Amino acid sequence: MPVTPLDRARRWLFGPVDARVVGWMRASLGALLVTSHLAYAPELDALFAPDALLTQGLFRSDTRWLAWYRLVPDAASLDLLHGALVVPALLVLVGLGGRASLLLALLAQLALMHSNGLAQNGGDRLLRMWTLCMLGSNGTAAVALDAWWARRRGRVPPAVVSGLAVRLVQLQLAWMYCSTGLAKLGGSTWRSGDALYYALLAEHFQRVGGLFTPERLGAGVALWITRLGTWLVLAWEAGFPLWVAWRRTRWVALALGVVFHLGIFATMMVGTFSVVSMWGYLAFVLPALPALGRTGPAVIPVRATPTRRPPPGSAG
Amino acid sequence: MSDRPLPTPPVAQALVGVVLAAALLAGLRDVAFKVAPAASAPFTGAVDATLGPVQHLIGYRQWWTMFSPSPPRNSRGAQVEVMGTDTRWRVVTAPTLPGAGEVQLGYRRMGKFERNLIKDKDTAADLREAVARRLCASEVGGQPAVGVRITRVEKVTPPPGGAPAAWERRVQLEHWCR
Repeated sequence: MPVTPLDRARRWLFGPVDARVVGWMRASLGALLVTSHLAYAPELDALFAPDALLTQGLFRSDTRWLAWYRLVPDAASLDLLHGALVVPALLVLVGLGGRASLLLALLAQLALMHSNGLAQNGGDRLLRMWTLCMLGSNGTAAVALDAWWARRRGRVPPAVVSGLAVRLVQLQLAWMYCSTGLAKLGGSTWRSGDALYYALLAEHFQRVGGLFTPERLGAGVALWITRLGTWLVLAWEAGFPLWVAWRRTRWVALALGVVFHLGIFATMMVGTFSVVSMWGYLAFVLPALPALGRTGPAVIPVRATPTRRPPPGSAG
Repeated sequence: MSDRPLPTPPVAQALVGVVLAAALLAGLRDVAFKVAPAASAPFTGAVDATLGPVQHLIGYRQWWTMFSPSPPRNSRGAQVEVMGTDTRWRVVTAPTLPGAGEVQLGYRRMGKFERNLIKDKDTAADLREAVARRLCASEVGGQPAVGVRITRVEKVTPPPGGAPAAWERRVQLEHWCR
């Protein structure tokens, strides 16, 4: 029977991956969720407290029922709520509760967003996307307390799981870079090569105030470096799906991405965006690792899908 | 015994297909809006009408600014001043731009919040009024407040060529307390 393009697409989307790939992705996402959630703590009162100066008159949200941080009466309750809402992220980190903990972690992120969306950045949005993507696979079949608990109860967790989450993360990353790259093609500063010059001089993003000035960047070698960097970023972003689809350019494209994100992290204050973006690279890197990359009996010892271990003495 | 995962049921596969199609549509909408807002209005309007409420609920937006279509050519901040009965303006909040040599290690969400308050068309005017009313109930320099002024401060980046940056200030609100 001929294999149709739809079959290929289905196989690509839902095909199996080593459960440890999804397990490590889930655990590291949990670490990001915990860190990102706790990083709110010093500014909770300023961003959400009912009597905070800058929050007066805001929040005409039609999803008020999800704006949990706006429903608490005082600062002490705010701390309590924030403390309680880190629990789902911790569950994701240790792999307890399967997809339910991911759903709860998503709800906690939505509560922050609907309570004060103006304080959110691209990193927060991408973190929500990653949480949504991870719902596509069973992430607690390995590297998880769920798996450990299953073994203790005589069940054998699956060694391979549907790779939908991995594919969704790959698609999301490719879409994000490519759509942004194409939008930049319409921007005059990207075509002229001056975009990086302007980006580095946007002071509210600068990690070190005054490190870059128009006098230092606007002439000579520095200007040409920023121009070459601009065009390189543009070509890399707009063509990202092609670069990662082609095996020969995949690793160069991912390595360039790491360099770009580390460069942004070192010079600009863009919240968690750099780190959260690089998390998505795990969807390319982990399946390619020799220890995790291949599925099937040739690499992984044969294990059953969840089933009861036979009672002692009944073997044979 | 097999180490293959349980196959994804066809119904679940179809559901994933529908969700992906909707996500693709929403993503195209955001790109179209960014690249050609006027020309794509019929398409973006139709997508907003059908998918908008769900997108808003779950925070799904493929709106990746990342300095596109162009990075900002200025750095913005807000300055809030209050006048006491001695008719002197006193600065309550200065723009939160980093000073020369100042290293920012931790991310300040309040900075993002303030920038969005200035530029967000839906909330900025309401918020400025609310801040002004609130400050009118306070004291400044031991005197009751009689006026509040909110100024948008911008540091404009010059084109490449080595010229220094220029400052621009625009008063957005002058509110007199009753």
